[in-house]
Order: sequence, then C-alpha cells, then structure tokens
Amino acid sequence: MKTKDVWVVAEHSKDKVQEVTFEMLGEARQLAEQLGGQSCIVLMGDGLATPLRILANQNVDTVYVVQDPLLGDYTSDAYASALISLIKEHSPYIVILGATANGSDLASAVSARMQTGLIPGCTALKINDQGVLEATRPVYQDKVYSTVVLQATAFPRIATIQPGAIGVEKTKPSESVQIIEVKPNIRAESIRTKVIGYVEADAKTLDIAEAEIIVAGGRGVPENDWQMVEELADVLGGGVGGSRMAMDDGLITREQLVGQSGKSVKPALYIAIGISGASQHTEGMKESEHVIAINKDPAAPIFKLANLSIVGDVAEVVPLLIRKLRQLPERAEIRE
Amino acid sequence: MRIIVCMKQVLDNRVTLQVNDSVTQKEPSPVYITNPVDRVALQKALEIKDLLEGTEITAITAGPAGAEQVLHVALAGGADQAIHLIKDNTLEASDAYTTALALGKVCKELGYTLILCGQMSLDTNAAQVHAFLAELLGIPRVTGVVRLEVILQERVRLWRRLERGRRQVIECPLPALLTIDSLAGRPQYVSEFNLRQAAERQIRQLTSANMGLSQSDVGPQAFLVRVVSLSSPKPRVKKIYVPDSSMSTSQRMNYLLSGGTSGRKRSSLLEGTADYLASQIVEYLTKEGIKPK
Amino acid sequence: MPVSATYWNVSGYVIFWLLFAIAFSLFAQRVYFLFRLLHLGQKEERSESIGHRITAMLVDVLPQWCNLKTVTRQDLAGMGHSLLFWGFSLFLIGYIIFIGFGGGFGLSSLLEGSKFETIYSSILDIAGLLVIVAIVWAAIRRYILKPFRLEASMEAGVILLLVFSLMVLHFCIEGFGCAAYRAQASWSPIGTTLAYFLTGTGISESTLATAYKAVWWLHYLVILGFMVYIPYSKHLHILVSPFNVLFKSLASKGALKLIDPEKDKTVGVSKIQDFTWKHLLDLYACTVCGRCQDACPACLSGKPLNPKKMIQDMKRQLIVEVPYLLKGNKTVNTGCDLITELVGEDEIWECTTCYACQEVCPVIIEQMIKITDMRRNLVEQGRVSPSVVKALESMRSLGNPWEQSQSSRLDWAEGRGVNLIQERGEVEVLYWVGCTSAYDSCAQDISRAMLSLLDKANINYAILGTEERCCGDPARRMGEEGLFQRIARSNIEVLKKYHFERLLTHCPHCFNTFKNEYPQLGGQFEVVHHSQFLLELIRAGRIKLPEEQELRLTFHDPCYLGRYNGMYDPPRQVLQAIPKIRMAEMKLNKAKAMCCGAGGGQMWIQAEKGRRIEEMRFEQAQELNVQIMATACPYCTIVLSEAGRIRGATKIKVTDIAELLAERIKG
Repeated sequence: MKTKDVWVVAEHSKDKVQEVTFEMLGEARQLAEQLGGQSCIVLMGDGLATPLRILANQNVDTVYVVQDPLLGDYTSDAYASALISLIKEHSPYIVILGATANGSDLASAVSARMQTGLIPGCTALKINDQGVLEATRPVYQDKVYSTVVLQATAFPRIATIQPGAIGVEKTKPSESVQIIEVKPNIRAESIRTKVIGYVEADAKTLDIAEAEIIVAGGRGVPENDWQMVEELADVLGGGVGGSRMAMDDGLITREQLVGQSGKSVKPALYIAIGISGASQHTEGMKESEHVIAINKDPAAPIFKLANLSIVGDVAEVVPLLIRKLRQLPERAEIRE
Repeated sequence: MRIIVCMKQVLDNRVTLQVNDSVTQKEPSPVYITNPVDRVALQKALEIKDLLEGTEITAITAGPAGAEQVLHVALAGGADQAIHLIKDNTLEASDAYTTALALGKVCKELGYTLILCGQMSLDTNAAQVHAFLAELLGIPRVTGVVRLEVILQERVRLWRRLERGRRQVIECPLPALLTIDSLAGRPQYVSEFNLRQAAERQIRQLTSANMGLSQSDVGPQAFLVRVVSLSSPKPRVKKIYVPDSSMSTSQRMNYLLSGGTSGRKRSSLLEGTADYLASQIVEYLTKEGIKPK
Repeated sequence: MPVSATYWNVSGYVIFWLLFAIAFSLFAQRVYFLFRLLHLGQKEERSESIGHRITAMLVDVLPQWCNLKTVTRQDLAGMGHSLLFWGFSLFLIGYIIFIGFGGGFGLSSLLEGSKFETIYSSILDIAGLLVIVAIVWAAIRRYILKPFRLEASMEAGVILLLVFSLMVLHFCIEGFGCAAYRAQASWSPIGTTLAYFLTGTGISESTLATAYKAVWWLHYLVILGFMVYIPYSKHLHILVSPFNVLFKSLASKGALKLIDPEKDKTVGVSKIQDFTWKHLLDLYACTVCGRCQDACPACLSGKPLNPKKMIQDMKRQLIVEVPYLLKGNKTVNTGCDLITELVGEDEIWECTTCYACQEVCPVIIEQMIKITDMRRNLVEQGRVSPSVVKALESMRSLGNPWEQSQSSRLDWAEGRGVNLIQERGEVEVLYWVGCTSAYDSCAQDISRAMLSLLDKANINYAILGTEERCCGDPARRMGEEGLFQRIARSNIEVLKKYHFERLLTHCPHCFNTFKNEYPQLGGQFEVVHHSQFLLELIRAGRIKLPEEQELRLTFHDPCYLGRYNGMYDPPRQVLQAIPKIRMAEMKLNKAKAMCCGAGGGQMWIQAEKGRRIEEMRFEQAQELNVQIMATACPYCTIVLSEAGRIRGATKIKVTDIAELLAERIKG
C-alpha cells in the first residue's frame, strides 16, 4: 500500500544532529501537507538516544529508529540494505537525504539498487501543478539552475538537498510523535567494506577548499599580530587563508593562498581581515556565501563584495571579536 | 592489474554560458574540456601504475563524436589504451542508467580490477552513472575517495572525504569501483606536443550495435528524471529562524518584517568603537546561523 | 740567449724543447678532452655567414668592445681588462717571437740589436707596466673592495699572481740581461732602469749572468705553467671566448628556437648532453665575472636564481661528472637530471627572460636560453605549478591566459564604435589589442587610449575583434612550445585572411613575437610598435599636443622593446614631443634597465621567494622627483601600478605613453 509519506533520513554524527536535517524537515513538512501524508524521520545508526531525543521534539509525525551495531559506522551496504527494506515495508512517497558525503552515497546506492529515480543536490522541492515532484538544482558549478521533474512512475522518489540551501525555520514541535523502532535485517557478510577508523581534521592543516569557514588575512594585518587571524579561525573552527601579501611575507603557505594564483574557495563564511580586495584575490573568494570584511580603509574594494562591512582597526576589532565569541554560551545543538 | 578510468567531456564552464532550452556557450564554437575530477581519477590510476608493475590503464569515455579529445588527454597522460563509446540515438545523451549500461558491457568484456570515476561531472553533477555501474557489475562502490592505497592487489585502503575535513578510513575488497574526490590530487599538465602524439594513437570505437545494445535493453527506470527548464541563478531565498532573545524587540520585529529573505545582502559601512564593531560581527554570525565550533 | 748555453752537459735546446713538449702535451691533452666533451652535445648549425662572423668577432674582441660596453661609473673593470687583454696579446706575440723563434729555434741573432727588437721591447715595457697596474688594481678590487659580483677565489688569486709574476720576471730578464752583458736596452725604460740599479749594486758580472739565466728559465717555466693552467681554470676563456663570440647566435634576440618534435631528439633540456655543443662551449667561456649576476632581477631581488652560479655549476657537471660518457658506457646512469639536482626547479621558474644577463656578458654566453630550454623539458614532463597550468590550459581552450571568454574580448570597447576588419575589408593598419589590454581592467585604459588616438588622427585602421587570440608569447616563454606553435599558426591563418599594410600593437611582447618569431612559422608581417607609430603621427602633425602644465616624468624601458628590439628612443621621443615635459632618467635605463618582473610568464608563474621585482623597480622611480612613471607595455603598467599601490605612493602615477597622449588631446 503506497503512502503519501515524506521521509527525511537524518544526518547525524557523534550525538550531534546536522543542520541539514532540520532544513530537510521544513521542506518535508511542506511537501507532506501538499500530498496529504505524514512527515517522517528515519534515524539510522547505533547508540541513538541523544539524536532521538532531539528529533522527537521536532515538527514531525513519525520517527523510525533503525538501530543496530552494524550501523554504527556508515557503510554503503549496511545503510542501503537497511533503508531499502524499510522503504519496501512502509512505501514512502518521497525519501529526502542530505547531499552530504554519506547522504549522497546512500541516496545513489539506494536509487541504483531499487532502479528508481534520484534528483541529487537540490535547493528546493515541491509538488507541481501536474502533481509530480519538481526540484530545482544547480548545475555547471552553480552557474545554471535546472528545474527537473521525477516521473510519477518512479518509486520511491529520492532527492538530496544541498546543505545550506534552504535555511532552517523554527517551528513548534508536534503534539504527538510516533516512535517506531525497527530491527534491521542486515547480515554482516553482506557488508563488503570494512571501516577501520576516522581521521579528525586539524583546523590548522585543514585544506581551505574544505573549510566551511575561512579567516583570511592580508596586508592590513600587522606582521606581529598575525596569530589573531589563526586564533579567530580556531575559535570559529575554520581554516586560515590569506592574500598574496601574506604569502610574500611568509605568514601563509601557497596552499593557503586564496586568489587567482592560489585557490578558489566557496565557504559558508569568509572573513577578510586587512585585505584590500584586489581582483586577483576576490577572484578566488567571491562565491563565498557570507563575506565579512574588516579594513581600516573605507574605500577598500573588498567592501563591494562584503555582506558585512566593518571599517575599523583590525588590531583592535579582531581580538575583541575573539573574546566575545569565546564568551558565547556553548550550544550542543541548534534547539531543544 | 587493469584499471578502467571513466572520463567525461564537458563544456568548459569558465566561458560565459547561455541558457535557453539548453546550456550553450557564448563562443564562436563550443569549447570542451575533460571533466577536471576525472583527470584526478586518471592521476590516481597513474600513481598506482608507478608503484605496481604490470598495471594497465584503460580510459573510457561515453560521448558524441568529438569526445575523443578526452581520450587524447588520457593517452598523453599515460593511459595504455582508450575506448570511445559513441553516443548515438540508441544511447540517448544524458541518461545515467543507459550510460552505465553501455559502460558495464565494456567493462565486463575488458575485465578489470579497479574502476575509477570522478565523483561528479562539472556539468550535471549528478554522480549517478557510477552508482548504476557498480550495481550492474555487482561490485562494491566507495565514493568521495581522497586517498587510496592498494594492498596486495586484493584490496584497497581508502580515505573517504567527510564534512569539515574529517576522513573515514575503510578497506574495500577488489574488484571495486571508486569515485575520486577533487581533493585527491591535481592532474598533471599534458603538453601540446604530447597531445599531438597521443592524437595519432589508435582509439577503439564502439557503437551501441557493437555492444549489442538496443532500445529494448533500456528499461523503464531510465529517463525517470527529466529536465523541464533551465535558468540563470536567482538569489537564493533563504529562511532565517526567529532570532534568539539576545536581540532587542525592535530588531526581532525588523527581521520578521523583512520577510526573512536574503540575496547578497550588503550592509552599509559600519564604523564605531572596536567594541561596537566586534558586537556587530557576533550579531551577524548568530543571525545567519553560523556559530563557533 | 740562455737557451744556447749548456747545463750539466745537456744542451739548453734540449731542455727547452723537452719542457715545452711536456707542457704542451699536458695542455693539449686537456684541451682535447674538453673538445671531446663538446661532442657529447647536440648538433647545431653555427657557421653560416662565416665571413660576417669573423668580422664581427674581430670587431668585438680586438678593440675589447665586449668589455668596454659594460663600463659604468661604478664599475670600471672593463677598462682594466682591456689593458690586460692588449698587454697580454702584445706579450704573447713577444713570447712567440723572442722566446719561441729567438730562443727555441736559435734565431736570436737575427733579432738581437734589430730595430724591431728595440721598438718592440719598449712597447712591451710600457705594456708590462700597464698590465701590472691593472693587475694590482684588480687585486685591490677583488680582495679589498670586494664588489658583490667578484668572488675572492683561489683560482682568481692564482691567475693574478701568475700574470703579475710574468711581468715582474719580464722586467727582471731585461734588467739582468742588460746588466750582465752591458747591453743597451735603449728605449725600454723599466728594463734600463732596473739594469742601471743592478749595475749600481756592484754584483759581479758572472753572478748577474747566472742570475739572468735563472730568471730567464724561471720566466720560461712560468709561461709553460700558465699555459698548462689555462685549460684547467677559468682562464680557459682566453682560448674559448673568441670562438664563443665567433659562433654567437645570429638570429634575432627575440626569437627562441623553433622545435620540431619529430626531428629534435629531445624537447628541451633535462641533462647536460641535451644542450647543443655551442651551449657547452658557453660553459668554457665563462670567466666568473659576475656581471650577469649583477644584472639579473631575480638575483637582485634575493631569489635563489643566479645565472653565474648556474653556468659554473653546469661547467662543473660537464667536466667532472659526465666524462664517463666519453667511454661510451651506456649501462651507467647517463648523467644526473640537470634540472632538479643541479639548477633547481624553482630557480628555473624565477627567470623573467629580461635578457639582461646576455646583454651584459662579455663573452656572449646564453644564460637565459639555457633556462628556457630547461623550461621546455619541464613542460613536456608536466612539471609545472598550478598557476602555470591554469594559464596554459586557459590558452589552450579559451585562447587567452586570463580564463576569460573569447566572446568577451570586445567588452573593453563597450560604448565606443569599433572598426572591425571583418566589416572593413582593406585597411592601412590592423591594430592588435592583445589579451592583457582586452581583459585586464588596468590595461584596458591603454587600448581605449589608442582608439582615441587612432580616431583623432583619422587613421584607416581596424581591429580583429573576437577573432583575436593570444599571440602565444606567454606559452613560449613558459616553455610550452607546442602550444605556441599551434596558436601562432592559427593566428597567422587568420591574419592572412585580411588585407592590411601594417600590424600595430602596443604590447612589446606581441610586437616581439610577431616581428621576430612568426616568420619562423611562415607569418611575415610588417609590425610596428605603438611608440614608433605615435612618433610617426606626431612628426606628421596628425596628433597635436596642446600645451599644459609642466610634467615631470621618467620612462621605464620595457625589456621586450628595449633590450630585445633596440627601441630605446621612439618612446622617449614621443614623450619629449609633449610640451613642458621634464624627463629624468633612472640610473638603470636603456640597455641597463631593470625588468618590471612580469615578463617570461612571471605574470602567471609568480615566483615566491625574495622581494617583488616590481616594487624594487618602482622604488627606483621614487628616487627621482617625478609625477609620472611612463611605460610602453601593459604588463609593466599593471605590475608597476600595483607596486605603487602597495607602497602607498599616491604621488607617482604609472601610465602608458598612449594614455598620456590621449589625455592631452581630449581637450
């Protein structure tokens, strides 16, 4: 019996629920209302007490808890197997995952195995006038937006959402949330890959191409004060970058150079400290989602690009900023 | 051991793109390049070849006439042989499943230990062909590989890219299909003289007839996803949640009234005491949902 | 003659010739060895126009123009060397005649007392004195004043000592000889003086005679010793440099060699044997004078690249490490990889191809060409940095190194009417805009200025518009010869489609490559640089420059216009035509001009170490009290403006000469 339910596969790690899950929930709720079905969360893994507590407090109708030691680490085989049997049993209309490393992997594995349709990397989902799932997704490295539909014959419909595309809406939790515990039927022998371990990122050696937050310094940072750039990056959990001037002065390596002769980065947040904003530099960071520029020269071209323009003495503002950020109450997750 | 590297020709996106019914370039004639991350995949194959004697690399591309350019780059870079699956009417251009079907046939015929693909292509960034391909061939697939080591020619140790610089280390038995992430390395430059030489080498060309594929092989699951329209990017409408209690009432009202959308919203130049400025930054970060650690 | 005497029952002649035989065989063996090493190098045709070559060589070497060309107020060493050269040449002739024929062949009787001997001895005396002065002066410079480029090496010391002792011994021979035999040395002033002094000491004649013989043989031994030492030291240049000048390249300075990958054994150079024999001969000719080091902008800005060191290291490699190849031993590893092990990959990429090293070298060594040859090989191996890859791949797919669309090549001219050759048909002048002035916002001002000037002067011109592609110079300078050839060939085809009399460009790099390199690929066009063209217009009265406020400026010579193509005057004459111009010259100007640092692909390579060359050059302009630093090249304009911004110099503006003119005619 095919339902009109909309499923969200939760992204979580180490007791933290990733923000993309909440973005997907918001979208799922809208779609469920349009379709007249339920919005459900699929929580897979092992040791799920904390994530469950958080997710049960959301605006959702059902939470499927799929707990098993074999799901402790993400593997394509185990997760796909578990999700597929769950899908086969409960027949959701749409399954939404985050376009993250694991989410994309899982989504494509499931769609390939079930021979169904997948729309990857969406920034918006809706049911269109013809009653089919319609999605907007960027292609050509975000230079073109494509609107695609998934044929009605596809079962289930799978889509992945780009983190940060939708934004999160704070809503009231549901009055009653149904928690269904599912025992997955996974055979250990069917898991072909073996997880050996994890390597944590070191904020100092983090490749700036991977950093979601980059703190970059330029000529306006006095040489003796460079460590404040590194400190700010540390506080924010981001990477350190810089302009050509910083590299010439030996404060950053070529790997940390942002710009025409260095790397092109697209982080969620780029803080430009003492950077004038010459085109050779901005070429490499203009696609950043949020740009905060701090510079003492109000005519600096970087301000044309910044979301937040701070005209001030770098040596005074940045240390204060670091102090204030350190004083913010630590938040384990977004909301409870 | 044989490594098959799947490579795709894409439109060069450094060039201004025009969007109507399809994506074209505003150029006198189309400019194509090899999908950059596919070249990184080839680079990984070459590194294995350097370490393991007797490794053979076959580069395959599924594309229209003219896609041999990709294979020239591969051959000049060090691939041993190249195969061009010519996409004609039977193998309709952009369907992932059908492409995987054709690739699968060729891979089965060639025999392989490892199949490498780029994580996704520059143009469609769908990252689906390899999913279907692994399924069709019945081999394990690992995505987002940034580092790999071949162990005793029977398995590979892989470092998968996770978020924020984390890596998952896994081992996978061979044969397997791996998708390579752009952080795995940089493709080596291929000189023009080398390209010229490579262009004179033999490339095996296969059509759907050669592969024994016909329209009937393409099952109902193909063409499930259909492009309806294309457009240039609009500023993303992003919802922001109601700001927390550290904001004043008037500020909260402002946010609510502003409708909560943001394009590249720019503030005016802020000046003032260092304390005020630092606070403004903290406010911005909190408002936009970017928090420390 | 001491040779005619007998010593311990052995005839002096026997001793003379025995010593000579030993010395000469040592000398010849070594020279032969060095000669065989040259054969390890690749073939190269260098004997065309042999008559012209011989004349050119004599003109360069005999009057010592090779050295005098680099004499400056700070560095007078060239004069000193010229004295040494002329003096030494006279002595050499003297040795051959007096010691060789007179002594060894026993023909001294013919010479003794002859007018020739009298005159020649006097000449030698004066020459000897001058040589001593030069030697002492050289020693003081090298060991006491210690200019940067001179090494206080053992080898240099030995040579100075040898020459000095030869002169001293020569005078002693004269002195003792005259004193012992009471002969009249007539017009040999020093010899006579010394003889006078010796006679006055009261030493017996027989003692003097013995001393004379001793001094004579000692002198002879030192000469032989020197002869043997020559091919083992940097004094090898005595033998080699005339040949090095003889076989210099007759091709235009601005043209790199065309490679045919099907005919040439290797693309570029990675091992020492990959160089041609002429490049290996260069290594022998080097005197370690260090002028190239002093002139090299990379070296001056503190980068590891040092052309003098490079040549010396290569010489050492050739002589010390590679000779086993002469035995034809093919199983042994054939020579180290020259690039990474010897010169260093970073160093190879630090060169800006400014040509200063080759311009200043007194023995015409081709340091820069060796570097571009090594780059060619690095490119073949794919060993290029990411920024170089970006530029090259951009040229390959998009036809320009700036990663911009071909279709936006005319955006700089938005809002102005442009004459497109595709619409025009036949024109007098095809104005080539170039990639940099099409895409870079700073350099676009130059092309816009040019349009104004061309329009104002009513020139029958047109531009290629979007059919223009990169001229290919950056590709060739970065070592991507194949890409250069492909781009150039397709440009030639496009140019041949249209009818125009002259090809005008404001970029010296485009100018150089069209003029000197496109002919290699069948593209012969009449090319003119905008400085020449604007001068023509001014002289013909087609551009009138109104009188305005006084303007103090200096002109920065672009390397590819100045050193490469000898055009120092046209841009200056253009500037002088502007009323109320006060021109100041930087110390390093014209042939000595310092590079702006952006040529040779550096705009994209962006060498990291040391200071930024453009900043150093800008500082030199700041030393003068000027308002404008005038340039005639878009690269120079871009990087020098940037340097000005970095140094916070709001007083000095960097502008192209076209912009200066256009500003004036606007009103």
